[in-house]
Amino acid sequence: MRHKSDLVSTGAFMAAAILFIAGALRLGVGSATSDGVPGAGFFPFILGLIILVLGAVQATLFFRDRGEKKASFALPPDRRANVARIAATVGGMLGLFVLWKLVCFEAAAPAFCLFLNRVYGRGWLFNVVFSVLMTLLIHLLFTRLLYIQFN
Amino acid sequence: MSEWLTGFWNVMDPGVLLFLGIGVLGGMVIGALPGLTATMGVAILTPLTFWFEPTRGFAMLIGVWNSAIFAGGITAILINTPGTPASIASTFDGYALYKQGKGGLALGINVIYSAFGGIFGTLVLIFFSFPLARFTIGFGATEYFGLAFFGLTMMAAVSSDSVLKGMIAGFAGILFSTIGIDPMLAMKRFTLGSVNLIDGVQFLPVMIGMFGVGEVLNQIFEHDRLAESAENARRHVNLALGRVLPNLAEIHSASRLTTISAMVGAVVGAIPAAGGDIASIICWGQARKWSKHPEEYGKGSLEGLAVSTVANNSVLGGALTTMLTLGIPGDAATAVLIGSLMMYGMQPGPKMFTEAKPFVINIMLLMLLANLAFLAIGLVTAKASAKVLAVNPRTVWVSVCLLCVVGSFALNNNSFDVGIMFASGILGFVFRRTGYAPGPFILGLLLGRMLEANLRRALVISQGSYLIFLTRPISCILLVLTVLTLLWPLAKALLFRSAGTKTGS
Amino acid sequence: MRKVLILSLAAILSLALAASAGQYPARQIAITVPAAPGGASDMTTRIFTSQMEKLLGVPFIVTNRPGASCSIGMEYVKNRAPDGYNLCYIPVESVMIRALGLTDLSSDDFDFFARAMTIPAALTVRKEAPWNTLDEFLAYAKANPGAVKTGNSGTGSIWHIAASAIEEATGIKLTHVPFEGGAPAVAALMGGNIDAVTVSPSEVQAGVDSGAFKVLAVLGEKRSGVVPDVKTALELGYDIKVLGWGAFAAPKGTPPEILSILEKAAAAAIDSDEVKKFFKERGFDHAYLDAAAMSAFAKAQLAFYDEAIPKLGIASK
Repeated sequence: MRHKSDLVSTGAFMAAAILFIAGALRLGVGSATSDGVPGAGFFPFILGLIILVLGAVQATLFFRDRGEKKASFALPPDRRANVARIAATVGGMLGLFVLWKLVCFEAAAPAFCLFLNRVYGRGWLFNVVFSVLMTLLIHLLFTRLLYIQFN
Repeated sequence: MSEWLTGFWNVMDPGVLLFLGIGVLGGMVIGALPGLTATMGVAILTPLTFWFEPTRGFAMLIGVWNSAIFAGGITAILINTPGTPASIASTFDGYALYKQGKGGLALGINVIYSAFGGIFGTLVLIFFSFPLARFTIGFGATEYFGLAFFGLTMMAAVSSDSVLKGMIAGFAGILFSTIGIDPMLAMKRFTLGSVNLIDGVQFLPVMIGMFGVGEVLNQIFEHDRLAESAENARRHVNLALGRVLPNLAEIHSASRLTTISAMVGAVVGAIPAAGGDIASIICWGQARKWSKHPEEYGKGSLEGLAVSTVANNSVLGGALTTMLTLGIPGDAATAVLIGSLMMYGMQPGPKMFTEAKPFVINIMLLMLLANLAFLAIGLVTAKASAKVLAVNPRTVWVSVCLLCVVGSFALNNNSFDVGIMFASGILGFVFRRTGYAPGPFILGLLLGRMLEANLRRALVISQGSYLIFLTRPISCILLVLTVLTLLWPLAKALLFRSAGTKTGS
Repeated sequence: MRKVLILSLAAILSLALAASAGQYPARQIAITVPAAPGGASDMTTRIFTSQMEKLLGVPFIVTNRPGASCSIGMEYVKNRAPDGYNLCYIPVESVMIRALGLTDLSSDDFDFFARAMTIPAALTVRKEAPWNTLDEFLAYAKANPGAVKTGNSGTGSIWHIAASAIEEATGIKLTHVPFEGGAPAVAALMGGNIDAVTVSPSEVQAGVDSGAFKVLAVLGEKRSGVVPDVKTALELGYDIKVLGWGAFAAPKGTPPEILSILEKAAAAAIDSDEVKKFFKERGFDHAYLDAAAMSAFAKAQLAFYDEAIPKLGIASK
């Protein structure tokens, strides 16, 4: 069995390589001082080409059905809930940062812990104790001992 | 000899020991937190030491420096995120050991071999400082290019499933390292008009995101309630039986490679612009080649973990060598240490060995003491942390996500770094799900700049002639080694095949 | 619950009012260092603020915001309220980054209240080099264009401009070799990979002390305390002056009465024995300027670099 995500990811690398090559050509592959020293675009250009070649080999393997099969985004039905948890974790981190910048860290951190622990199905008592302790610890460590300003 | 005795009494002063202890404990916390590096720890604490007596102030800084490098390995083992860049190679085997329920042993190896490496490096500093420094100061752009190139050959070794995919990810890492101001011509490359990208994609937030958040997301994805309880039960049993100390047979079988990597680490440390990250990567990759059990590397090899932790701590003694004998910083942390020496009215350099010899001896003794101190603290706490390891993975997830956000901000007090960390986290997850290992990408990002800047710098010096890479002996040796390293698997396959056909016929 | 909320809100409000109406400074002052911890800028600011705390009686919170040749940190402060509670350490890069095309920001976006120190460039070569004076060096470089490989701390950096200012003033041609900072350049000189460096005297001091290096000239306003016997280029008859400096400023538009309080305190702080001792030990030159003199100096520097940097031939777009 081969996975479409395999081809998509290879394509993404190749697309990135093409973008870099286009940028590199605009920067100039040769040097302005022209004594044989490569210019600003030389290195990214070569790297982009290497990735294109390797990507092409990888894509060929895919079409001959020899792509890698170990990891993929496919999940057995009983673990579909994990996808929601990932979304919640990613969203929670975004929320943490927005709340931190809009209000303050000392409000954002416990809110983040409470939310994620809830999503992961932890008990309320553990949740509250963990959130308060974690925030306190980070606050003390970073702002009091290491003089890092959070706000 | 009497100087050493006086020095010994100097550092046995209770105040000095107290500040050394505070430094070691503080360094453990700083090193174990992703985002806070050993350099940052030393830099942040330097202003505090302004008003201390020099030996006490230096005791604290040396304590922080040594133990932060060691403690970076703890995080690498427990949550697969290097606490400092120097422990990047410790994730390869350390985390695998932890997953097999041998977390206690991995922590034990980390502390014992870190101390071994640190003491070895300090002995090199004490006995060979001047010849070593005279050798490494000659390293120029061609040699740095050779080192970076040699380091990159490890890319294939850390690509998990598919070497081809690993190579693609690795080259993509080098490609991303070209973002930012061009190192030679100061042109803006791929910065998309953002002032935050002028210095390029910062390595640390990417590392924290890919290893920390990426790993957490992957674990959530693979999470299986039934399997988890079974796994937890197994882990409890394993930890109950678990030991912290490696046995004599294990120490003996690893002794050859760990000694070699202690030497390599000290030499790499003494090279002015190469540090613990590249030392441990090179040592790990080479040890895998020469090991009797290369198939275990990356899958929980005790030897592999030992080799990488030895290398990153023996670097410190080497770095001090260049700093004390020549007054040139061996890495970013020693650059800060030079500053604080100057604050105390001392100018590192050959003259310091005559004019301030007692203080040089104090520094050497403090290095030895710092290693012994973290060895003691590390061994005592390893048993305890091994017990804490049985903590519910869901607790780890929340803590790691929070610490990654905080740590990536604390790095430069810059929100942009948090964004980079966040994006790398998601990318790290996608990498893992599509079979692209994050290791090669990180390696490429780390070494890409060194590779490009030194290639072009060498060509500026040689005025465009590529021959310079072959006419300079050290760079020539490094390049030949690189080619041999790349061809070795091929040669081995050919040799074994011919041997096989012989027995067959 | 509600009562507590209202009470605490009222308390916060009254505090804020007291701060705005009362005597400056009423609360802690934030000062940004646009460079990494442990470097020259960071240390200077920390020593300076420890004196300022004593004089003004409020705590100073130092925050490092490094990146993009100091642009990121300065940009951050520029966008803060000009209320005297957001200050910034301003390095020489402030007059260079606009010409380098990194950002639109320049020293004009700040109200300076003091200059603390200067760091001149020092033209340094190895002991065994055939040149013993600046004139011999220049004569050789003139006869052999491009033969002298001169290390600096990065293309478009202050020490790159130092070397190119020598070229500009004397008509010689050097090969510039950029490194990631001054220390690797000094290492390359010591290792024999390049022929000369133009970096700060304190960076080459170890080599000078050990007899590995000799300094041919200092490009400062006056001789450097690190190598007091070496003449400046000005003394030797060349109009070359390239030096790094560190000043303190607030965002443009800070009320003049606040600036004058800061100026008075800063004058005393920079004149203190602690700060002077620190500068001497680190090899920086104590070079205090008051607010007016510093503003004029920054204007002159900005004009100088706006002209000098495009001549480097590096692309700024």
